[in-house]
Amino acid sequence: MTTLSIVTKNLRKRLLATVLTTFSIALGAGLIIAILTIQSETEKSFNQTSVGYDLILAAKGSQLQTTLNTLYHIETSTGIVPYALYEATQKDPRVEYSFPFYVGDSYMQYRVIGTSAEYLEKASPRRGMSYAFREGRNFSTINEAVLGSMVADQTGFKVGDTFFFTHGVKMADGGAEEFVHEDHPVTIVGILEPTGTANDRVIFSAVQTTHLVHAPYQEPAASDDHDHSHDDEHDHSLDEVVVKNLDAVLVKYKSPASALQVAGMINYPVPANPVIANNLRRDPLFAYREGVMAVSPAVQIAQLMSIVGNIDWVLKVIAVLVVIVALFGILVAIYNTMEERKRDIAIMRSLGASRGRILRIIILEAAIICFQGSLFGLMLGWSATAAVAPYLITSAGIFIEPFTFSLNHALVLLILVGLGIIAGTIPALKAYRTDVAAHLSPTN
Amino acid sequence: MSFLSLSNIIKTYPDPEKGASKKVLDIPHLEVAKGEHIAIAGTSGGGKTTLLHCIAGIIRPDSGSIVLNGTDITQLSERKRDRFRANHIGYVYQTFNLIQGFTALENVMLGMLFSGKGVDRAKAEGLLVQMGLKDRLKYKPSQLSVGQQQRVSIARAVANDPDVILADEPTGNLDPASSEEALSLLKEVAKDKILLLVSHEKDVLSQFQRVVSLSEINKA
Repeated sequence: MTTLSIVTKNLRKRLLATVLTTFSIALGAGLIIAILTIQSETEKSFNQTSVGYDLILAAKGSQLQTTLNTLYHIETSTGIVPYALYEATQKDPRVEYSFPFYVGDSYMQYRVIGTSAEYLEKASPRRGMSYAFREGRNFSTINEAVLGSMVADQTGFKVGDTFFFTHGVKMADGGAEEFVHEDHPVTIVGILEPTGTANDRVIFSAVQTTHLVHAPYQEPAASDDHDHSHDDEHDHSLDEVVVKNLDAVLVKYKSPASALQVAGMINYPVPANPVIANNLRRDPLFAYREGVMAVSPAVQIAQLMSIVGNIDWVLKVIAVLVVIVALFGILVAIYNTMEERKRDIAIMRSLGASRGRILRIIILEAAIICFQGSLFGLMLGWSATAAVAPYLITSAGIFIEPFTFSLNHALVLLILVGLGIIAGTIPALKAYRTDVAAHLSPTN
Repeated sequence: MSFLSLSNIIKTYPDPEKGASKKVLDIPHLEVAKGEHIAIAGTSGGGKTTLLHCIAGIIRPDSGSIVLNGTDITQLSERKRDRFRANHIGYVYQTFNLIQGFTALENVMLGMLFSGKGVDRAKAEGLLVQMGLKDRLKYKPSQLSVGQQQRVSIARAVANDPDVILADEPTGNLDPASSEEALSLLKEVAKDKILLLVSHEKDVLSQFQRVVSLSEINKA
């Protein structure tokens, strides 16, 4: 027999009220935990997704849309840019590396990204991480593809399997149909290790492959007497495929100053100063600036986090309000029992229990309800986050690890227990002031 | 020398009807020797319960002193009175005053918890066995007869080896057979202790060598 056993017995005696109050705390706590986890994981996902290139050169339009399209593989592109723009960046001495970027087809719900083989060799999906192969190798020629880890896991595809790109989306009302490129089977040559980014759920292939299914072949060289046509099943090399347009060019410059220079040249009007204007006209990319914009993905991500942060603040306020309501529930639930418990309290006082012990018993009851509610809320929050995680990856390209426990989570739980103690203090004070003599008789 | 001594005890309560204070106790003196069993006779509303509450330290008289084994209870702080009561005074109530959500054993152990000496489960079990409740240790009060509930109350009252046992109409809710049994057990466990039993039942009063009429000692 201890003070704690008195408390647990009291809670069990009013089991329904205890369970309901615990559940209300759990709901509030779960909401806070879910918001906290999603917010921190989203921020981490945004921050950790590599912006290993300085600029995205894309058709004029929404810069955020372009960033989401290229980094997180959601949204559509803002339009097309000439393939020659990519070729110009390849020859630009200021450029460390550049990649073509083309999106058009898909397989099931997974996007096909047309790019160069160098993309998987040089780009970083996350800060400090390179692409690695779980199986197989990188694509090197036409009609080869590399799968992100999630694509392979969900489809069950293995290296050596073939599949077909699909163009368009089938509408339920029959207003549109998807088109399967059955004339161009694509062979899986590699499967990537998980990166924890949106790149896990895309399919990589040569940009020439993604164009081959739609565009005509390049005119053959004079010595080549092959008959090139769509009916020709002859294998083509990358050089033989005509690529005219891209959705974007991803560029990493050797110095930040070069990136700034190019962004300024593309995004801003040519200055009136003839000397500066002439210098600009000598820029290798000047000829392509019409209809093109240079996007700094790092800036766009920062702006996006700012927007998300505002929404996050509103959600947190809502969660806090839910918790406050739940804490009031504890206060009212325990307070309402004080009247019927006055005799029990008087009996304990008559046996020698001090007022302080009675106070501690009541406060401990509130603390235990809050503690149990918080733990239960932690599991609820984790479950809610786990339920939302697949939606976030498919709709926003954001990877979240649902079952995280950080210092912030611990602080939330501690604060909840602390607030529960405060809520329990009010009914505890009522118990503290119980008139012993008046309540020892059952008629009082 | 008295083991328990009351001197000039005055206790008043507000009288809501008259808007003034009403004197409930006015006891010039009452002496009780160690091991003495006394029955206090009085009518309802005469101040019997108030007297026992003052001796138990549950309430403090407005003036006067209550000295038990050299300690003036009236001079103790409330917290010290609580601890003193837990260690030196056992109380048996007419309505038993058991905690409904606790078993018979837990009710007895509860009496030990607040003494600060720790809970002796074996001793609690032994007391209940002595009360003839060997097979009722895990029963809750609602599952016991009134006679059994009173025996649990008696066991709880003696759990800390008190110097004084106060019994406020302990047989008031019992049938004659249970009354006889409860009284017999009470007197047995109160050997070598002071027993102050309040009753208005002649059958109960007749079993005590010293019967004090409250109206004789209380001038209120």
